[in-house]
Amino acid sequence: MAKIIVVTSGKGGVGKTTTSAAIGTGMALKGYKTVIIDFDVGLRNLDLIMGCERRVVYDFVNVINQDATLSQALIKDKRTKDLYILPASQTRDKDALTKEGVEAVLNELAKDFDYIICDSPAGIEKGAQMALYFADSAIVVTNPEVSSVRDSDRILGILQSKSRRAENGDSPIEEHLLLTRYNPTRVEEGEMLSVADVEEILAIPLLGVIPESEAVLKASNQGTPVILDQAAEAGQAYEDAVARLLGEERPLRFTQVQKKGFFKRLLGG
Amino acid sequence: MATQDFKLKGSVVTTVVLEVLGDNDVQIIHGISDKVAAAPSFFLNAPLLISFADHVNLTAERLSHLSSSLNELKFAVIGWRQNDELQYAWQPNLSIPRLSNAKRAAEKPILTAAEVTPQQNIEAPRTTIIDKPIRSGQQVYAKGDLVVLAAVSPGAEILAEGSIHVYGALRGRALAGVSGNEQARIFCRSLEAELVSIAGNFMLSDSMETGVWSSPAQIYLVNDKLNVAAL
Repeated sequence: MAKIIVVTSGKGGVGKTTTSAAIGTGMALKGYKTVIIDFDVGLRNLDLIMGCERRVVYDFVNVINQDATLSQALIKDKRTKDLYILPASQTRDKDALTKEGVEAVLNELAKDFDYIICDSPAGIEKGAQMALYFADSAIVVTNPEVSSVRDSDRILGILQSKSRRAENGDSPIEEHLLLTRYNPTRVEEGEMLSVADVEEILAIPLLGVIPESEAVLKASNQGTPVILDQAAEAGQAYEDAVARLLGEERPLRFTQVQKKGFFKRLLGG
Repeated sequence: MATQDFKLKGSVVTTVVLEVLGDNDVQIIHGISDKVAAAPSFFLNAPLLISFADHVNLTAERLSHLSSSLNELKFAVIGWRQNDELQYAWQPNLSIPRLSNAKRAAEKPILTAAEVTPQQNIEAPRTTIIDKPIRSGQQVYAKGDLVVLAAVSPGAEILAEGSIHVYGALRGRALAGVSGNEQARIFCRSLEAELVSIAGNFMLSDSMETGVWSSPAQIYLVNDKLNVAAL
């Protein structure tokens, strides 16, 4: 039985799609058959981040409406074995997502896949609620700033009250905090909330801290998930997060300010 | 909000009660003046209620005589009472009101354990206990007291008809005594609330003193004014 993981945040622009692409790719690299579904109907982005925008023929809404089969709509990733993408429709809106339709698609995917990653749209309305409704586990993507933390808190409340697990009284959705765009220098200067600050307010287990990195923007524009850039700190941090999601213990990295060595200072590096 | 000039309320006050058990008024007044002589300032202008036992023979003359004698001893007679069911041939003097025998009234509705039905047990106010954080946007309502063993996030709202206890940080809104219970209080381990309210009297974080901020505190109501005190 597949495990359904929703990547959500409430707030927009915090790195949900970047995270979905990186975590999905990371799971597939570990040998798990993984599919990433773009729930952001009308604002399709995942295909760009995954670099498969020119291969979209059918989409998620076509499958829900039974205009296409799942195998027609699924895009197989060219770089990573065992990785598939189910793109969103760009011409429709969130009302095209029905509970029954989404459930039918997820049930069919669950037969073949180990992990189903649901890339949630921003907000707390229908699109976001559909993305989290069937989830077993949630990755709450949060930036170290007050409005993002408050929105994450709000979405945690929705995970606990409006998901299928909550409605059926099953064991609650596993919650994981992923702190993205973390800048230790700015934390030290008091401009940014620290890991401890965010953990104290949200009170859920920390999955990882992704440092703010130019590699992320570059990877997005190139259509390559940042986790494939293992030279970049952000790529390594995502790799750590995937390992932790699979139960491995790894120490936190990239949360302290790096002291520059003598030669680096001399050379202005 | 318009200011109110008055309020009508029921209240319980403590007074001196003179239990009259016999018919010899001379002896009664003599005994009382001895008591007053022993502690004159203690009884000075003390409100006094004359309570006649059921068997005592009471007339209008006797009542006014006793009352004026007591007033001469510097008591302030506020009324009299005798068994509520007794009827008199004379008109009561309205300057000394007859008070209802409340003690007797309270004795009536006592139920034995066998008469208490299970439904009445359920009606008793219960304590609601929540052990998970209350997230932004969530609202919790408790019929009795509310105990939260985790944090209350900004944008969350907790309401209780009784008192509220928060054993984490209180960062949202907390409203105790929402059905008008002025005795309700709010207790929290770290006061960072957006708003606190007791029986409709509220206070915003702006007006809370910095001394108690982020520290254990209780909020209670005295004369329609909210007080915040460190714990």
